[in-house]
Amino acid sequence: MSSTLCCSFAKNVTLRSSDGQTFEVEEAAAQVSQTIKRMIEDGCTGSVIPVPNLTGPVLALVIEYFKKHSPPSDGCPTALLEMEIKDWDAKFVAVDNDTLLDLTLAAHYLEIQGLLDLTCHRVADILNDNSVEKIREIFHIKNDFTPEEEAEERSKIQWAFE
Amino acid sequence: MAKDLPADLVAQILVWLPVVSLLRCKCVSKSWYTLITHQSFIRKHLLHNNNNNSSSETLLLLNLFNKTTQDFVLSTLSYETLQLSPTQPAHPSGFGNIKKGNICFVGSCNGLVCLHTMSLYEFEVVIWNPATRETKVVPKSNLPRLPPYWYQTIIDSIEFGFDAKTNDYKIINLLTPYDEEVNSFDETCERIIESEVYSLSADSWRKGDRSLCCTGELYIGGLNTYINGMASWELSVRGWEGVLSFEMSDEVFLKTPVPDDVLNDRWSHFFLLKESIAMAVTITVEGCSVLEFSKLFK
Repeated sequence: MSSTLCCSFAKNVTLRSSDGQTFEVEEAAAQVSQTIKRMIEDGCTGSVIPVPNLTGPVLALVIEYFKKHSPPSDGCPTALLEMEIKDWDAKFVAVDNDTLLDLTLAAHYLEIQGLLDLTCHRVADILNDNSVEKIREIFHIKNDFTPEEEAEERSKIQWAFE
Repeated sequence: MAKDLPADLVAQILVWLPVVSLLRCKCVSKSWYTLITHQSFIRKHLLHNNNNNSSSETLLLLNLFNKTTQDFVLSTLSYETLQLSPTQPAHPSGFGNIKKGNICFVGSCNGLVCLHTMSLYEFEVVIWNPATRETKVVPKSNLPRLPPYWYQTIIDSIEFGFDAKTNDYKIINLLTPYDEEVNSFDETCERIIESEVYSLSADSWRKGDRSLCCTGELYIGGLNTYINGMASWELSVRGWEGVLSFEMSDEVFLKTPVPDDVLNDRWSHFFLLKESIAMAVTITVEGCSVLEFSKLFK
């Protein structure tokens, strides 16, 4: 019972997305983000913490991640719990490409190392499975090579495309 | 929705890719090309792969001869799983003028392989990256090789390693003076071993600052190892036997004698064991051969 009691006293913070949506989350959970942790330490807790780089739907996802990854109130995480979190993580990033890139940017901006490793690894898997043309499409990258330059570069490493 | 990923974030994504995918990704855009080919990214990628468990397994590099194609091929054997990787021809471009098969293994470090030709008089060395299939032909040393400074290159004396202080790859070659007048079996004959060092970043050879002096018959054999910043040779001179090491950053020599309790008259073999150089000794006990191992140094 004591742990539930402890939780009910836990301090909450309010986060506000770029489009004005607000979310209430436990302070300990939000501190999974180094950026938010610093803001709390600098005394931002009294008011609403603005997160201008994230839209409401993305911030809602990030908060889901916070809740799953907040430090356990009753000591060390068990091996079983770690495995469960790993499964949860894998499902968490099994989203469409645009959402995945949004999450990657959010993890980068909010300095959430665990989420950053998770999303970067997932994005790399996608890069690994796709052609150069498809990669440009997914990442909205403009090809600034001339056709001759690209052909020359490709011919040097022809074997890598086989 | 347009996603402009900052360059440092793109780098954090790309470090997860295997080399072959990175090569393909160079064709995505000019900024990706610049990022992937930059020294700092290459180091980051290496570090990331060293820290991630996939590469923590020990691999033995094998130099095999293919009888059908009359060619040397390279392969790796996993120390833990005994799994053999697909073979790659061991004659990288740049070695084109060398007769097939005449290739020796010098050493391997950070995924780079250093090879040289087996000929006694021709001294040709390449640094090869099997993952990118790129080759760097090492220029010939222009240090004097003729009398009165006629140094001979001992075939096993070349070693390859990495200087972590300057982020530079180096090749060190030991040279012993060649003098027809001196009988090599003369126990009182004094010899100076000189060294020459090649730096990849400078792309040139220079004479080493330190030389070694030894007396009597000399034996040097490269151990083809690079561990903890040191290249090593097996060395025996009159009254002394052990391992000679060269510290790649400070360019100093270090001598480690074989343990005192090792018998004089025996067969011995040096090899790499985990992060140490070990010595296997065969001794005869009541008519039986016994293999004894000693760990020399870490």
